[in-house]
Amino acid sequence: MSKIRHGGFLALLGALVAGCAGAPDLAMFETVEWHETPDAAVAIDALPLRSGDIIVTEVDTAMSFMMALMADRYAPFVHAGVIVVDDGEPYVYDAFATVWPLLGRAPTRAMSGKIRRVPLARYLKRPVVAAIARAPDATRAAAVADFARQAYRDGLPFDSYFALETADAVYCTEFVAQALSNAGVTLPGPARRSRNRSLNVAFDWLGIETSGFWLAGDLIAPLQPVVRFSRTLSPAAIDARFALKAELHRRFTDEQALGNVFRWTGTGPRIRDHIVALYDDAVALAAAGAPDSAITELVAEHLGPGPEPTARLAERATSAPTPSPR
Amino acid sequence: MRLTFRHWLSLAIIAFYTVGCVSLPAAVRDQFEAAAAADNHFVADDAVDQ
Repeated sequence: MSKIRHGGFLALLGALVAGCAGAPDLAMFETVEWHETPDAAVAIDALPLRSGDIIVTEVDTAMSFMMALMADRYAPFVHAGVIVVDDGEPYVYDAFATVWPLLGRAPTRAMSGKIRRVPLARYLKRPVVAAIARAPDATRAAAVADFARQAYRDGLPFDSYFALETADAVYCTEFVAQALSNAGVTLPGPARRSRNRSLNVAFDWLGIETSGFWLAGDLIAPLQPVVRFSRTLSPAAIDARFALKAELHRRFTDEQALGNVFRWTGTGPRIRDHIVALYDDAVALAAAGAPDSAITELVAEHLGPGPEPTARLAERATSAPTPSPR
Repeated sequence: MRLTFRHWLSLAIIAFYTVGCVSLPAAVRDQFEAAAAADNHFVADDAVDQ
């Protein structure tokens, strides 16, 4: 059975699950990969958490692979939130939306949501990989946590159109970027929107006019790594997953069709079978301890040589994206 | 008219498809067609699964 679940828009965006409180049971995870524990950590059921920590996650859906192609560069993970310890219990504050009955509309027109607060244990049930990282000092971490609490109290709405520089609505990574920037953490900045012709037909239908996207992996790049989790993947398999997504992104040059990677099922995109098979083989190889060169050979065997390594770089513009009008 | 179980079942099926299906415009649906191998960086040969 494939390790990639094929959820559609509804499966990705509409999941509302029953809750449970408290910290996660670490025995349930295949991978709990610790980095050197930073100072001033507060141990909660063996998790050295601190309010203001950032959590980024990777989900096991076709939409996760499509989101990896939406910008002109790749960074791992697709979702982000802020960890806040309230009354001794860890919670994740994140921007989240639900898709309501579509009635023939584009999903972006049928989405609504706002900043929510979810117990960390519940939050960690769905992602295939999660990582926690920490702001450089306690003062900035506290500012991140305060920003998240205030946005939650204000009911800051979800931005279905992923517009940059809008103060009245945010999407998941934009919310965390604002929290970190507000606290004085310098971030790499949003990535430019992909110029892929096929993807932009879909953007036009969805009404997405943004010039760029905040990438979840960029949000933790300037922070101190704390821990990386996976319920199902070994550390090597996690690296293989992200390496494969990066390779798919490299091959998805401006003239590539979405249909080269996905097919439409009626309820959402589905990754083509031969790419799912490649993913399964790559993860299995990595889990067995194969070197990176073996994975590279496997990809070339399954997908052919692909574009020249410099082709993707030549397509990129060098300037930063500008805010888009709403 | 009295609504029977079959009526409710039919309504439920219609509601399911109304809620669950994303109706793609033709221009968007076309993007999900795979290109020929010569223009496709995701296949090693002509074996594009449809």
